[in-house]
This record gives sequence, structure tokens and C-alpha cells, in this order.
Amino acid sequence: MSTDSQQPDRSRPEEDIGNPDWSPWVLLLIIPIVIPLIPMIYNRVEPTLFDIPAFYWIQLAYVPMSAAITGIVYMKTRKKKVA
Amino acid sequence: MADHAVQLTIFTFLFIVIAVMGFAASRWKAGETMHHLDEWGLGGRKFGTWVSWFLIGGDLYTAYTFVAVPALMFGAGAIGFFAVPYTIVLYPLVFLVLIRLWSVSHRHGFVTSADFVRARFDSRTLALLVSVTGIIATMPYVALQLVGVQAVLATMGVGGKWPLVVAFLVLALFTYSSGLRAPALIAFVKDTLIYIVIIVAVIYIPSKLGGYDDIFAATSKHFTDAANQGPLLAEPSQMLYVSLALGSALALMLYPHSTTAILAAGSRDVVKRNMALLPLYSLMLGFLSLLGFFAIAAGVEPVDGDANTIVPVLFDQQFPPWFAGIAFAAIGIGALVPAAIMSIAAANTFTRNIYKEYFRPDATPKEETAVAKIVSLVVKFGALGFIIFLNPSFAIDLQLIGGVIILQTLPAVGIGLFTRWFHRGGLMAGWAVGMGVALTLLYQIPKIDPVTGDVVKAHFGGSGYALSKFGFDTDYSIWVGMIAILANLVVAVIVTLVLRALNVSGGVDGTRPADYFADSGDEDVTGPEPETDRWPTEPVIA
Repeated sequence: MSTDSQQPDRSRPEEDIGNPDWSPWVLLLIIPIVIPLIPMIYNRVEPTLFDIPAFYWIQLAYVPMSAAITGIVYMKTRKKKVA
Repeated sequence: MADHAVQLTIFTFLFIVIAVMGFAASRWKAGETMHHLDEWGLGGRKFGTWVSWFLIGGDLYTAYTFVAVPALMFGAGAIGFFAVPYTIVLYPLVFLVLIRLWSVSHRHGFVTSADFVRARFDSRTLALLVSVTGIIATMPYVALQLVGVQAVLATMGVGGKWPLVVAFLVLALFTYSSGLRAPALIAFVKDTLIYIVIIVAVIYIPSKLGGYDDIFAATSKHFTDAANQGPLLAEPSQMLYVSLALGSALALMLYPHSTTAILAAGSRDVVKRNMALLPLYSLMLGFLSLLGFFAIAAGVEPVDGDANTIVPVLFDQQFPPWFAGIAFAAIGIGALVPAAIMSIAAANTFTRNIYKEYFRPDATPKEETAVAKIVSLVVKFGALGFIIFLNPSFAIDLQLIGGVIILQTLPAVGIGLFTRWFHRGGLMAGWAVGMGVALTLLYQIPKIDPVTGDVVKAHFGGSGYALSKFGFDTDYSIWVGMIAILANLVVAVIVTLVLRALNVSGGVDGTRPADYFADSGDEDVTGPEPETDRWPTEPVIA
């Protein structure tokens, strides 16, 4: 957190609340951000799937993969509603 | 010609249905008053998961995307597929970054990202730069939506400018009266049509063309230039592919219309859930982009040499007329949703960050809304004038520039959501340098015919900059936005350090750390409680 570099705001007490969004699960999001940006993995024809070259089907397969990962991170980081 | 009559009838019918829905939308989930920007410009800030899904999806995947991405695959090959990694990378980024914008905006009642910048960095000038950049980047994007409609009309044999004028007049009027609720409701119809069309297209058309095997075989023979290796990226194209994908994702996050659609969501959970659900659109876009290769295999000849017509021509040739009519309507309606949201976003930005800030600081919410409604009309008629009086290719050039310049607001908006380390003066200096670098480099890029090697156009011919021009011994090229944002960040860091050493005031942060995690239901959140996730119970079409 970068709160130290902020100018003091006299109207309110300084607060250090940490980062409530943080959880180790968030690290999983690195996968859908980084993997689709490495063409060496998928810039090839073989193996084809239903006659579609690897370049196309692998990247299309990344879509449900990234959706699933984002979904898992969402579930695991969801705030429990305290009654 | 009889085929075109069937197509035109179905197209017109669906268009009228949509227009009626657009006008009726003002009564859908209506708040107490339409005379507030939260209502007109953000639909009441209470959309649930499914409404947001259609709204954001309908907003980000525009008619121009549907037309231009396959056209790029048709003309340039594998590089056009960057749209897939681009829209994959986008969602985890939004999940991490824009979620904070949602929270801080909910707590403070911000309507635009420039509102946030003004409070965070205590700087009207920086907020003005962010808002002007946003408006300039959005205007040609609205104009491009018309290119999609025009491509469809041209394929159906409808000439002249008047049909475009009519379509946009309808759009302008229902946006004026219903605000963001209109595209939210219409997106439901538009996307249902688009999904049906794409699913049918990727199964039916290959079966007529001899299967994917034959399609890719034809593609491999077709692409023999240096940028392609058959259906794959040639080695030097890979860096451009990656930088285009990452850069476009970062840029899309910063566009005003993305902010508008995200801020209209009712809670943090709605936004986060959507980041897991929206990739379904990317899957559709991926299959849709393959239509560019289908068109190669089918030997499609674009109308008047305009590659943007290849998808409509392909549908015209391959589908029975009634289904082609539905497909054309899907593209035509597809133009209205993003055009409406973009013009609302630009209008919100103008009203909040220019009109209220500089001309009428004591404008009431009612006056703000009245101004925003008029500005949304100005934006749309400006876009229409663009297409009618100027060459559409001028809009395409400007849109190309748009993505590069909107990225220059990343340090203030994107990074600003995490840290206030940068000094407002540093951010302004970085912005200026980033803009300068972006425009200079884009000006230097010629468009070269891949077959003959002739220069087709001397300036603004693309967004890939050859690294050899910097003296590197390589044939790699990179998306211009990446170079510009690097220059922007370097300058922002240096100027920040200098200003801090000179003890120049950085202003007061108007936000608190806890604001970035605020959710609906938390105390002292300004917005209304989110509604449960459901479609309107009362009939929308009277």
C-alpha cells in the first residue's frame, strides 16, 4: 500500500486498513494475464483439433480456462456477509 | 434482388422493434427522477449481474469489432486473431484494477474517471487532460459504428446516405430520452441475435466450404507475405501481436464507455462475477474472426474493395436470405448499443469535467442531466457528419490513434487507483510527452501493400512501429502505444522526483484507503441499494 506517500488529510484520522482485496488466490490471475501473451506456446499448426490449427484452438481454449480461473478467484475472495 | 428484399424486410422489422424498446426503456427500473446524471448517465447505478453482462458485453464488442476483426484476418492473416488474447487478458485486469474505481466512485458519487482523478490528485487540470483525451478517443469510435451499419446496407444494395441518417436519428432520440437504460435493454436482443448468428455460421458455413481442413488449406496458400507463415504468425510479427493484445486490453479499460458500463453495476460482486462470465463473448469473437478465413476459402469479393464488407458479403452468399436478414440486423443493432453507451460516456465526461468544472460550478443535477443529453446528441451528429462529409478511412485513422492516446491516461487513472506516488505535475508532463511520442510515431508509419511493396499511404498507415527505425538490427515491430506509455512513465517518474525534491505541493488526496474497497450495503455509500437480479416484471413494450 502506498498510504505513506499521501499528504496528510487533516479532516480524517490516518488509517491503515491493509488491503482487504488481497488473498493468495489473487496470484492465480497471473495465469490468464501472462499465458495468452506467450506466442511461442501456441504459434504452431500441430496438433490440430477438428482440423483447426493449434494456433487457433489453443487460444480459443484459453478463454474458458481464464473464465474458470477468474471465477475461482472470485469465489475464494468473496466477502462473507456477516449477519 | 428478391433476396435483398427479404433481407431488407427482416432487417427493417427488427430495427423497428429495437427502436420501440429503446424509447420504452426510460420506464424500465426507473428511479424517482430522470433529472439526475446517476439515472440518465448510469442507469441508476443498480444493474444486476445479467443486465451488466449484456450491457458490458454489448459495449465492448462493438459492431465495428464484428466487421473489422474478420476483415483484418481476411486482409492480414493470423495477426487479426490478437483480438482473442486481448479480450482474455482484459478481464483479470479489470478484476484487479477497475474494481477499485467502482468502489471509490460508489463512495464519492464519481460518474467518470476524470472525476476520480480530480479528487485523487487534487488537480482540475489533470482531470481536464484525462477528460479531453477520453472524448477525443471516443468520438471516432462512435463514427466507426456507422461503418458497420454502412457495410451491411451496402451489401443489401441500399445506397445513399439517408438510411444511415435515419438509423442514427432513431439512436440519438432514444438515447436522449432513455439514457443508459436504452442500450442496456437493447443489448439483450442484439447479443441474442449475434450468438445465434455466430453459432450457425461456424457450423453451417464450413460444412458448405468443405470443412475446416479446406478452409485452413486455402488460408495457408493465401498468406505468403513476410508477416505470415501460412496460418501462423511469422517470427517478426509475434512482438506486434503480443503488444497489440496487451496494449489494447489496457487501453480498453481506460475508455470512458468502459468506465460508464462498469460504474452502472450495482455492486462489487456484480463486477467481479461479470469478469468470469464476459469471456463467453471472447469465445464468440474468436469464432467470428475465423469468418475472415471462411471468406478467403469462399472467394469473397468485398463490395467496392472495402474489406469491411466481407462478413456481410459472406453471409449474403452462404445463408438463405431470411437468415442473412437476421444476421444483418444483428450487426446493425450491434452498432446502436456501443454507439449509445459511448455517446453517453462522452456526454457524462463533458458535463462533469468541463461544463460543471469550468463554466457552471453550481449546476444542479437537473441542469447537468439536461446538458449531458444535449451533448450526447452533439456527439452522435458529429459522428454522423464524420462519416457523411469526410472519408470513413479518416475515422479509422482516428480510432487507431484513439487507442494509443487513451493509454496515456494509464498512470493517472489505472496506476492512480493503487498509488498516489506520482506527483500531479509528473502525471501531466508524462501525459504530454506520451501524446507527443504517440502522434509523432503514428505519423511516421506508412501503409505498405503486402503484395507489391508499394506505399499506399504515407502517414497514419498502421500502429505497428518497426524497431529498426530506432536503430535496432531487427525486423520486429511493436504497437506504438507501448513506446508512448514507456516514455510517459519515464517522464512522470523523473518529474515527480524533481517536484518532490523542490517541495512543490502535490495537493490533498480527497479519497481514503478504505474507499477503494467500499461495497454497496456498506454504510455511507452514496449510491442506492442494488436491486435483485431480474428482468423487469412489467411489460417493457407498451
